[in-house]
Amino acid sequence: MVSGLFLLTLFSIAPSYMDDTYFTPPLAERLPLKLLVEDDSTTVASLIASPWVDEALCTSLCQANVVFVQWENFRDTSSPVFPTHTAELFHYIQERAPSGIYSEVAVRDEDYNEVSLHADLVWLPDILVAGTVTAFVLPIIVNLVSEWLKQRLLDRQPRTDVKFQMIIESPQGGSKRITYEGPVEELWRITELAQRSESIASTVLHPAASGLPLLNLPPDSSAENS
Amino acid sequence: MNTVEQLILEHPALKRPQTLLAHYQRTRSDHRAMLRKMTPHLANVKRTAVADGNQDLAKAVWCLETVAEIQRQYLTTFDMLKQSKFYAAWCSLETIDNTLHALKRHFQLSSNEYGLAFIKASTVRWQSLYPYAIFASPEILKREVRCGICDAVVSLRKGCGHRVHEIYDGKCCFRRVTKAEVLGIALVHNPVQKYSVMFQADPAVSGGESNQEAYPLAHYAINGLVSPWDVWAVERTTTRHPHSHFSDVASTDECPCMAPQGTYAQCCLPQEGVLRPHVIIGFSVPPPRKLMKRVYV
Repeated sequence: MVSGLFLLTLFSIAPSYMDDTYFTPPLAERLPLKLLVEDDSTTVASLIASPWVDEALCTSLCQANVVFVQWENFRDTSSPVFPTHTAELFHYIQERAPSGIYSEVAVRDEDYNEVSLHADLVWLPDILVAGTVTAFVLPIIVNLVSEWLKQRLLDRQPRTDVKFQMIIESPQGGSKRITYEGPVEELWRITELAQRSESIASTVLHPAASGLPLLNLPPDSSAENS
Repeated sequence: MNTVEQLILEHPALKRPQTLLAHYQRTRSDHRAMLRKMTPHLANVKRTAVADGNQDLAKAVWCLETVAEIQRQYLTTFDMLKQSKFYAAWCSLETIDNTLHALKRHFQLSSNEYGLAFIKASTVRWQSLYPYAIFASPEILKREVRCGICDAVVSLRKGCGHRVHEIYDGKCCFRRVTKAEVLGIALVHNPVQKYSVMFQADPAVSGGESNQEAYPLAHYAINGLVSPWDVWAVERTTTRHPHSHFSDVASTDECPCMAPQGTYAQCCLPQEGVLRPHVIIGFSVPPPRKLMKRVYV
């Protein structure tokens, strides 16, 4: 069967070199974008209790309001792992975050391992935001992550989607985990979702149910998480 | 313009190499010969700069060496395509892409003064003409990472002071993974390493032998180009193919336009033809007359 066709046509070509090279489809074709909110038990206290934290790191974690959280039991590995480029992102945030934001990684140096995955989806490390100023810290971290992604990774792969989880610790105990999967340009939805809630620190985060046609939320996620 | 770019234009030892690289549109053999001659001269300038502790000059030399490497690699790729070595050319395009990426942090690519913007656009355009869709992508757990400059083991909180992608003594800093475990291999559409193409069992398709039928678009485009520096473009659209090409499809079968809904009779059969993908390749320099026709693949 004939499967394709091409036709030669001579036409004058202006010396603009970038016009025909990126066939990035419209956003709607690349989604569904995923944005979920779930209850979670990860807190700074639970991280400190892990076997990968020593006394010095414990002190540091208690002061931090941004913590990079390890993945455990990834592909049955016994050690904690982080997605590739975590160290780079950690240093980037350390250098650029305004005063008052202290970031830390929740494992000792000797237990730190990175795993490189596939380019179809850029996996970002899970980041926990703790303390009483999460409403201030969260958008800054989301912006820094977006900037880093644009500078470091996405200039080569403009169609790459990212998977990113932010954990927001509540002063009342427990936390909420926001899972995002979609294009980097839409990362701001994490902040928007958090800001729609009455209070990030003390209440359940209500996912945006209307007005955002690209969101793909499970119909019962709101009720479940309440 | 940054310090390094200014040095490239003004330093007496770099004047001649800079001019030679800027006049890249000479014949392929002439340009290759010129690049060969230039290599020892640049190496000497860099050695002296490092000995004198002139890091800016060493970095400027690295930039020119990298520009030369990209131009050389691009000419090699063009030759591979001309010889129908499509998989080898694919790997070479990836090398160009990586080298351009390393250079981009230190050197402006957009002005096209050394043909870099043209090479960058051509690289992506050639890649877009390949049929490759499935790649093997390994999941690798990195156990030990070393600095490419000083070979020190780099950990999360204890760096060696060298920054990745920065230039030290005229060398680009990378990280080397010296201990690792492969956790799994996945099949993906958009891999980190593009060379890991999943071929069919046919060795002719795997790059050992030329197989022009497997690369119709790339084959067609390279036949239309005389010089690697000729401007060309690709436009993607759809057009209707004559129904006579689909005589083996029954009217009750799925429509050959691959639309999700409707049979052939309900979809394209009442139309003047079957809607199919259509690629228009435009050349600024007229190609041979035999290419001036529609080709169905």
